[in-house]
Amino acid sequence: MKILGIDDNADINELLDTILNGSGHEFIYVKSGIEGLKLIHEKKFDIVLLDLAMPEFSGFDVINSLLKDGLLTKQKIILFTASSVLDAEIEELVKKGVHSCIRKPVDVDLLLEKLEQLQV
Amino acid sequence: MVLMTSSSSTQSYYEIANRIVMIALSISIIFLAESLYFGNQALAASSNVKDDCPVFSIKNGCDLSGWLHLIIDGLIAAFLGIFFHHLAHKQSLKLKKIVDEHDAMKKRRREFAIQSLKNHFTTLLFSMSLINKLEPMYASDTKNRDNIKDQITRNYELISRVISDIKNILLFLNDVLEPQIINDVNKLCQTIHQGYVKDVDKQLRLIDYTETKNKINGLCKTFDELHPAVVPVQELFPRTSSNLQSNNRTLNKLNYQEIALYCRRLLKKIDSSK
Repeated sequence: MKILGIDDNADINELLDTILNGSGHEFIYVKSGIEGLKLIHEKKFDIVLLDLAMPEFSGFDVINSLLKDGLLTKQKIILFTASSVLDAEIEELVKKGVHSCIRKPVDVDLLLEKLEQLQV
Repeated sequence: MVLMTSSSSTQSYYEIANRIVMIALSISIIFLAESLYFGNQALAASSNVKDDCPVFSIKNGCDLSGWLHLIIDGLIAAFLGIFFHHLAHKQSLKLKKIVDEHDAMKKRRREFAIQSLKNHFTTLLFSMSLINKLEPMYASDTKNRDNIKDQITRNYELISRVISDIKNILLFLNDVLEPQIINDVNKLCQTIHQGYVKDVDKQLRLIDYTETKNKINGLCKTFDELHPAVVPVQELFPRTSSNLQSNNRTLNKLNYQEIALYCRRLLKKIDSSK
């Protein structure tokens, strides 16, 4: 699967790079929302792992921009966040077109399992 | 946009005009009350007091009667009462604003602390899992031993750095976290530290990954129980809040600029009317 990671945490990006590329996926990551948005416009990804709390251009800004451009439903956007997002907020985002949410911290095996489920 | 700007500027002109009228009215009332009271006293003191003065008579030789004294004093007291009430109300609004801002800041700091800790826990879980997977490979794969050893060492270094980052978070944000959380996180850091052992090849090894993983998951549950998410996360975002603060500052600045502009226009009108 072609996976894009949008997260400002460099450690998590690098570890995901090792883990996901090591398990047969094609993983690319960017550190900011703007860069991520640019990549989503340029390329097609199977899954986009999007962090919410990022400086300057947050995950919410990315979602709003994609919604504006009509690209939100065309991508499988999965929130990959450590923020204390309310369930109601997630429901609202899912209604808008976000696929689902994975809350940090998550175990590697569980993450890979969820990604496999999405592939099916 | 232009319409919005013009309507807001009209509103602020109206507010400024209102404020000026209120100030002018207050000064007039004070002036009237003071001049009535002291003027009459002075007038009465300057001449001989007559006994046949009517109740509300204000003229040479007549001191203020007890009734008029009472009415004027009452008016002054009422005015002062309203004025002080207004000041107290204004002050309480300011205090409420300060308390609200402090509360919002505390919530943002708490959210930041929890977010950072959860991010660090994710890093810990990922790197520990990687080490767990690399260790058997290190034993079996003799060709890439050095490479695998490098990867394992890099991950252990990452774990040590993350633990020191977690300790820093606990130190700097301990005012917004529950003591139980601080204790539990400290214990977790200790467990991970104690989990390091050196094997035959003097390679660091983590004793029990599953136990640490369970502890982290348990800790995150405690986080959610002790600091449940009650505010939409969008409201806590630093960017949004800083924008709001800067907007407030700009608004205040604009108000002063508008007052100055309004006064200049008023002076020009007076000049042209002359």
